[in-house]
Parts: sequence; structure tokens; C-alpha cells
Amino acid sequence: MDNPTVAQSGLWLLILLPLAGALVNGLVGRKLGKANVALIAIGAMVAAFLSALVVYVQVLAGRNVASGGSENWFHVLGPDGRAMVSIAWGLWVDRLSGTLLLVVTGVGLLIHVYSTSYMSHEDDAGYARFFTYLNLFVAAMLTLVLGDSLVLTFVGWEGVGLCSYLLIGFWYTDEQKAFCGRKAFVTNRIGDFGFLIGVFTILSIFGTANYGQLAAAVKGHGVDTLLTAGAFAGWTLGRALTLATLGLFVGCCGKSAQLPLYVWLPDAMAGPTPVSALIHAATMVTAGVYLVARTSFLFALAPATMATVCLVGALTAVFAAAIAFFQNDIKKVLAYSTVSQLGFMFIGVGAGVYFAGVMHLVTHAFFKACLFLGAGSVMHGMHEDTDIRNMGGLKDKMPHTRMTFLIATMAITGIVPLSGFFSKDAILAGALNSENAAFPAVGKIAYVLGTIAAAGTAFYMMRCYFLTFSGKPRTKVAEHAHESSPAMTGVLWILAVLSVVALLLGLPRFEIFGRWGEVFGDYMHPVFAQALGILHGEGGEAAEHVALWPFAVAWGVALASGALAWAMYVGNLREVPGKLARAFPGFYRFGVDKFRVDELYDLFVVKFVKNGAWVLWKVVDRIVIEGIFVNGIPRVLAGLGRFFRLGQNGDLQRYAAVIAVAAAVVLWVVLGTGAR
Amino acid sequence: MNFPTQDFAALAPVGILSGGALILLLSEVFLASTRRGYQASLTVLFSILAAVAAAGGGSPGVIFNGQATVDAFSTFVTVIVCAGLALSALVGAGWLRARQAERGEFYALALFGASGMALLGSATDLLFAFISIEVMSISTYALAAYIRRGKKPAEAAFKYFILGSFSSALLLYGTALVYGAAGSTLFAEIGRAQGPLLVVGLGLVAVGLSFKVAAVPFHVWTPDVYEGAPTPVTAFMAAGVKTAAFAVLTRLALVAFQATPASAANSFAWVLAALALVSMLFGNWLALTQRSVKRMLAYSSIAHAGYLLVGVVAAAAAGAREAALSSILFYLASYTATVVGAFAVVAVLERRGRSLDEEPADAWDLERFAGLGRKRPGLAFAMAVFMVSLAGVPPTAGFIGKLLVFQAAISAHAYGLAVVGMLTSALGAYYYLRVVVYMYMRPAEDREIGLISPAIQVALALAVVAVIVLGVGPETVSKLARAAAAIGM
Repeated sequence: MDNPTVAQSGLWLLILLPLAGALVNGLVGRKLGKANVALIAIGAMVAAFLSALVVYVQVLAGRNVASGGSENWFHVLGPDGRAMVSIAWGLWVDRLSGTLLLVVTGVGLLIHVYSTSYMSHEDDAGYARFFTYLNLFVAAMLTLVLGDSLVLTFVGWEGVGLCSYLLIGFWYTDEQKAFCGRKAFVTNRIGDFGFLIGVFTILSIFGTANYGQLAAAVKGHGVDTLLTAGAFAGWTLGRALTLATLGLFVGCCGKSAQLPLYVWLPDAMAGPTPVSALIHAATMVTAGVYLVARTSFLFALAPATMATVCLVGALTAVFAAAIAFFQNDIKKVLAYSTVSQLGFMFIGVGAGVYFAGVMHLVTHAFFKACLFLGAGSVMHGMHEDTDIRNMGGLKDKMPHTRMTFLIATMAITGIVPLSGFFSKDAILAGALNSENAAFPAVGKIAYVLGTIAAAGTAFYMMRCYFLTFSGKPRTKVAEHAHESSPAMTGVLWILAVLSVVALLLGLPRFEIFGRWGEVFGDYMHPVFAQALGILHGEGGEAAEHVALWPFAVAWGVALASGALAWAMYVGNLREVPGKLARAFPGFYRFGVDKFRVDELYDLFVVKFVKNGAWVLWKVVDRIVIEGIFVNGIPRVLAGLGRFFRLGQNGDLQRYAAVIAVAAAVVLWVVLGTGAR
Repeated sequence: MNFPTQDFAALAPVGILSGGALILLLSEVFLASTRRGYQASLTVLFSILAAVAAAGGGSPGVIFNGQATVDAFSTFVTVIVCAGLALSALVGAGWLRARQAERGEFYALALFGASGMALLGSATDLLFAFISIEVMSISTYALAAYIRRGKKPAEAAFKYFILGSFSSALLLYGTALVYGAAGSTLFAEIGRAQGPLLVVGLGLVAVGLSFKVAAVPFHVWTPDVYEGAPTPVTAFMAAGVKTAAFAVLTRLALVAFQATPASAANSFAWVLAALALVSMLFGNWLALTQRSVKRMLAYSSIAHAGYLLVGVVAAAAAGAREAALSSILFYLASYTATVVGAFAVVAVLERRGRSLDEEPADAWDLERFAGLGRKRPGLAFAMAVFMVSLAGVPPTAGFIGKLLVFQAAISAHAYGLAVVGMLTSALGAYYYLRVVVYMYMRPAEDREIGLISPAIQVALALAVVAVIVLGVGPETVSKLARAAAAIGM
């Protein structure tokens, strides 16, 4: 099993297996029946997961696995002989992409299993379509993760975007849901535009988009290195990379739902719940974090971008948490919570504690998938009602769902000793200790904002839990709620256990933990060594600040805030939320309306674009394009074509005459210029 | 003159092709059975053998006192020609059988033609080139007239023959003038001569070759002949004749570019650039108005000759020569795979009359492709791949070919040609994609699904695979093309 070539050939297989599953289900799935469709989809996922394990054995042994990469797809030389564009197909697994690989195939497999039961009310065609999209998504996500260049990552990036669109609008006959899919797609396009600018900038600086080659190209260069060739000649490396990485980060903002492009993610909850768990919580939305971590050595050379990433992350974390206070739809609460948690991850990668950002990505994948699937289970029990005000008292009706939801809630809240505490705390402590070369205060600001967001998280998650499961049933439906099938609860338990066990990754570097202290950080170190070298000087490390007080603060905040939620929704202060809402009705409405960001965008962006599009349609399209180009040019060309066809009438003598005259012209030209 | 035996050994691929032709001719005499399925297989076998012999034969270099050169370039050309022959033979098998016209002569003529093409790839002497061209041309004249059941094929073949003879006469006259100026017809010698006689001679030779590659304004025969000839023959002509003619044109252009008075070399480059320009413009333009897909492909082949000429022009700049030559070779390989595939689909869909002698006027009309995406998804997919490749869209072979050619043009500072090439490619996308639109977005006119045979299916599958493989992983072939481009160094 530890033969490297086996692992190498397995790399492409990883992508091809889910793709094959999608192909079969997409082409003939509707005729196969549900059981066979599920068998094919899950079979592909099991095989992919096993191949991922085979590959991961290599990674654990310290060997990176690459496949292809040397084969150029195309290679364009610029006028100065330098490679202008060089693009290759290649896959690459190191400790970072390997970890993501396991998360995507592992959580993906669990969610496939869960979906077999969750989606069983669909008809055969819908069932096959769902699993086709789901398998296709996994294939695209693996392309994103395994690609060894920005270009291949972008292929996957677009692929997951497409699948996300298809799955949000899965019930496309509902106009509202189809609209949500379009909103996600359009918002993501804005981000993708930034991504492309980033890729093109990087191509014109380095002539390559391959991660390994990029890392080698910036090795030994500082922020002040002057670029001598290409479109950015005369710029310093730092300035050019700031442009490039800001472009990439705009892409991340779109895909990972950060300010100001987060608006699509809450609406993405229109899709089936397993989709929300897999795509809009565990995997796809974390792609932006992965991208920043993957190109950490570029971001490290652009301190201004790092500061931007860190601040945008912190602001998003607070902002989304604030909106989540007011949400009554269980999936919407979780959606804003996802946006907020993604903000935490960006604080981590923006402050230069890359491992912590990635670790939070992993732990978040477990507990947020568990929460979403739990919400799905609740929705099943509640006949698709998602309003937590109508629930209550579900703890006895749905014991498994309740227990796992509680565990995951405690994990995201940051109660010791669950995994969320350690990963979130590693981010905040790391941000506190980080020093950004361009804006030194950024780490402290992010710490403060992050701590506020953490307090908010504890409150709204506990509120969500208490309203759903505690107290007495508030509606008839809640009284008759029932537990879901073992296929669903089993998956919930696995994820719940994982969100506890993942704490092992994040133990801080205290004496008592021995070699388990920061085990994940040490494991990831080779991946980020170059970036850390740039940030802290060659060979230097982040100063070891293992103070106890940030941990105590984080713990205290989580407990206090959780306790407050308990008091306000279960305990003695039950009257307070209602009173507050009545005391500040305007503010309450403002919160329930999600701070009216959608309306703001509608006013300034959407209206503007719509009006602009109307003008374009009436003036440019109707007159210029349709009138002149579409109808005009072909008419002219066709007229010319008819004219030239006069010479093509099949008359042999005329043909010969054409040739003779042309030959005479050629001779005249060569003699005229060449004979003397 | 005295030729050592190894000179003949170096031409083993040609020997295999002509030997195969003789065997197929004799098979008609001795195996008087009506079952002729083996003939196409034999043809494929011989072309594979010839390709293997060419690839495995190494590069003995100059043979026959300089009249021919067997090098990596000629090997590359031979392999392309053999591939084109094999694919066309597979297309021909089912097509001919359906018209009750499958005979050994067809394959024998194709094999003879291919042997002429293989010879042409290694020709480095004007007379040697002339004879090779005649071997190739006479076979294709006969092939174009292979089915004489209607008015059109006979007319097309006759036109091709008359105009071909005319161009051969020009070529031969040019050769005579060159001989007068240089005292030799060897490429190696004529580069050293100078004077107006040489310039006129080379000019006439260039005109003769431009006729064979179907460059505007020497293209007039192409639409009629491509449309009138049996479809498998058209495929063979588009792939093989073009490849071989470009091979010799490239070798000759290199001689002209390195001629001593620089002004002569420049005037040559100018003429070729002008031919490239008008071929790209007119080829694409005239293809726009065609409703017959077969005729559209004929005009498209003129346009592609223009793109290839851009590569030849780029070879005039010493710095870009290697890139230019390798781009031409890659383009020829990708074009061969694509165009044979496209004509194969045309052959499948071609409307037949109620009797064998009847010629429906709309045999290749766009309407024949309507609704193909539903009726025959596999066939429609293959055609879509070929159209996309001809239009030059990634990730297909056509894209990489155009990329390499325009890249060579840019490094040769021929920016104008590169820009015109890209713009006309965009124009070309219109009529290529129109076929795709018809296949996928128009309802079918009937339930007829055309005539498909296992041999054509094999040919289509091979062509699709080749087009995609060359588009996704072009490195292997482009490496070979770069190695073969060493002749210009």
C-alpha cells in the first residue's frame, strides 16, 4: 500500500471516480431506480475515500505525491523569450491538500449516506439528478484541492460554483429557489472576476501559475525586489503581489461569503439541507481559506493584503454573528454562523497563523456539517418547518438529533474541551500575537472583534439550541415530531464524535500535553515554512507566547454568553427578549431584515446594473450589435461572398484564367522586388 | 549515377505503400469473391506498417546524391500521411459498400497516392518533387473520378485533372528556369544561384505548389472538386495532399528564404504572406455563405491553408524558424485528424438518391444535421468536437495548432498576419458553430439516421481521441514536431 506509484495513479482516480458516478447517474440514473443510484453514488464516494486514504498514507510518511505537472498543456513564449504563459495539468498532494482531501471525501461520503434517506421523498428522476450533482460537486471540489496550479484550481473553483448553483436551485420549479441559485451564481461571478485578475497578474509577473514554481520563484526575494521584466517591470515585488493577492482575495470573498459578497450564502439555504451541509458549510465555502493558505508565500509578501484579509475576516465574523441574533429560521441561523466562522478562518490565515485557520476549517467542517444535518433531521421531524419559534421540546422526541446537535453546538460555542474551542482560540491567540508589517495594529483589532464575535456565537447558537430542543412544544407539529432514520442519526453521531475527537489536533503547547501540544501546527509546518520565514525572518519563528489568559478569556466569554442565552430562553429572564424587541422596535426590525444589506445592494448595485443593462440592450444591443454587427456584417459579407461566387461558377476556362492571371501577378511581384 | 542499397532501404515506407497497392490490385484478379471487407483492413495494415517503418527507420539523412532527405521532418510527414490514409480507408469501407462500389482499385489508388505523398515529404530536388507530385496527383485524379455514376464526380475529376495539369506545367516550367539559372535542381544547389531567371523559376514553382495546397487565388478548383469527389476521397485529399504539398513547400521556402540576395528572399516572404492573407480572408468569407457542409469544409480547408502559410512565412525569420516549422507540423497533424473526422460524419449523413445514379442536390445540406444531437448523440458529439477543433477552441487539437502557428508568427514579428489569423478564426467560428447549432438546437427533419458502419465508427473514435489528446496533452507530439523542425537549423 505504501508504493508511491500506486498513490500517484490514484490521484486522477480520485477525481475520475465521482465524475464517473455523476456520468452514470446523469445519463441513465432515472431508469435505474433509487437503490441503484444511491449504490453508484456512494460506491464512487467510498472508492474515492479509500483512494484518498492510500494517498494520505504517503503524505503521513512525509512524501508529497504529484502526478503529471511536467507535461505542458501550453506554453507561450513572450517576445523577450521568457515564458509568458505556461500551463500544465498536474495534481499535487502535500499535507495541506491531503488534509482537505480527507475532509472532502470523508464528510462527502457521510453526507451522501445521509442524503439517501433525506432525499427519499423525491421521485426517481429527482433522486438521480441530486446524486449526479452531488458526485459532480465532489469531483470539482477535488480538482480544486488537488490542482497544482492556480489554473487547475480555478477549473475546480468554477466547477463547484456550477454545482452549487445547480443544487441551490435543485427545486427549480419554485421561482424563489431558482432565484436564490441565480443570486449565488452572479455574486460568485463578481468574485471570480477578481480571481481571474489575480491569476493574470501572477501570470504576467512569473509566467507560471504552478504553486511549486511560484514558491521557487519568490524564494529569496523580499518585498522590495524590483521586477525587471514583463508587464510589471519597474514595480516592486511587494506592490505587484499586493495587486495579485487582492484580486485572489476578492475571489475568496465571493466563494467564502465574506463582506461584502456574503449575501448569497444565507439565500443558498434554499437548496436541500445535505447540500447546505456539504457545500455551504463544510467544503466549498472554505475554498477561499484553502486558496489563501495554498498561496501563503505570496500573501506573506503582500502585508497590505494580509491586513485586508484579517480585517475583512474579523468584520465579517462580528457582522454575521450580529445578524444571526435576529434569525428565527434554523437554517438561516446556521448560515450566518457559517459566514461568521469563515470570518474566523480568514482572521487566522490573514494574521499569519495559517495552521490555525486550516484547523478551524477542519473542525468547522465536522461540527457545522453535524449542525446542518441535525437541522435537516429536525426539519424532517417538523414536516419541513424551519422556524425555531414553532419548535421547542424536541429533546424527548428526537434524542439522537438533540444530543448530537448539543455536542456540535458546544463545539462551535467554544466550550472546553471540544474541538471548536481549541481551533478558535488558536486563531485568536495567534492574531493577538501577530505583527503585520504594514499595519501593526491589525492583529489586536482582529483579536478584539473576534472575541466579540465568539461571544455572539455562543449566544445565538445556544439560543438556537434552547428554542429548538428545550422547554415545551409550542406547536402541534412539534408535539408529534419523530426521530429520523438510522442512516441519518448514524451520520450525525459520527460527525458529533469527530467534532469532539478533533480536539486532539488543537491542544495548545502546554507542558502537560507533551508531544500532542500543537500537533497540527507542527504537522502543517513544512507547508507554511516559506510564508512564516517571510513573515518572521528567515529561520525565525513566531515568538512563543503561550500565555494562559487568552484561553481563560475565551472560555469565560463562551460560558458567560452561553449562560446568558440559557437564562434568556430557558431560565428566569425569559421575558427579556420580548421586552427588548418591544423597547427598540426599529432596531429589531432592522436586525430581522438582516441590516437591509440586500436592499442596499438592490438600490445601488442591482438597480444600477439593471438600468445599465436596459440601456445596453436598447442602444448597444439593438442598434449597434444587432443592427450593425449581427445583421449588418453578415449581410455585407454574404453580399461579398455572393460577389466572389460569381468567379466560382464552375467554368473551367475561367478557373484557368484566374490561375494564370494570379501567377502573372506573383511573377510580377517577385521580379519587381527580387530580381535586382 | 549510382545509388547504394541503403538509399532504397531508407524509402522502405514508400516501398511498403506501393507494395500494398500492388497486392490489393492483384487481389482483385485472384480473389474473385464479392466479400471485400479485408481490403480496407489490408490498407490500414499497410499504412500502419509504413508508419512503423518510417518511425523506426531512423534518419539516414541525404540519399540519392541529395535528391531526397529522409530525416525527422519526412518521418513526421509520412506518419501523418499514413494516419490520414488509414482513417480515410476506414471511412471509405462502409461508404463504398453502401454504394456497391468497393473494389481493390480504390485502396490501391489511395496507397499509390500515399506513396507519392511520403516521397514528397522527403523530396529535396525539384525533379524528384515533381515526380512525387505526379505520383500523388494522378492517383487522386483517378480517385476523384472513382465513382462515375453521376455528372458531378466526373466533372469534378475532369476539372481537377485539367487544372492540375496546368499547375504541373507551371511547376515544370519553373523547374526548367531554375535549372537554367543554377545548373542544378537540387535544393542544396539552387540556393546559391541568383538572378532574375532563378526568381521567376522559383516563383512559378511556388505557384504550382500553391495550387496543390489550395491557397487563394489558386484555390478555384477546390470547392468544386472537394464537393464532387466521393467523400472519403475528399477526406484523403484534404488530409494527405495538403500535408505532402506543405511539406515540400516548406522545404522549398527555406531554400528561397536563405537565397543570397536578401531582396529575393524578402519578395518570397511577401508573396507567401499575401497568399496567406487572402487565403485566410477569402476562405473564411466564402465558407460563411455555404449551406452545403461539404462545400463549407472545402472553403474551410482553403482557410486552413492560409493559417499554415502563416507558419511558412514565420519560418522566414531565422529566430522563429524552429517554432514555425514545428507549428506547421503540429498543425498538419491536428488538421488531418480533425478534417478526416469531419468528412467521415459528412459521409455518414450524406443523402443518397433512390437509385445509385441519382444525385440529390441537397446531399450535404445543413438540414441533414438538424436534430442529430437527439437522433445520434455519439455522432453529433464527434462532429461537435471536430467543428470546435476546426474553429480553434480549447481543449482541442485545432486550438493548440493555431496557438503554435500564431505564436511563431508573433515571434517572427509578423503581427499583422497573426492578428488577421485570429480575427478570421473568430469569423470561422460562425459557420463551424452553425453546424453545432443545427445538431443540437434544431428539430430533426426526419428519423433517418444515416449510414454508419463499424469501420466508420472506429475511424470516428480514433479521430475524436486524437483531437482531444492532441488538445489536452500536446506535449508528446509537439516535442516530436520540434525535433522534426531541426531541418531549418
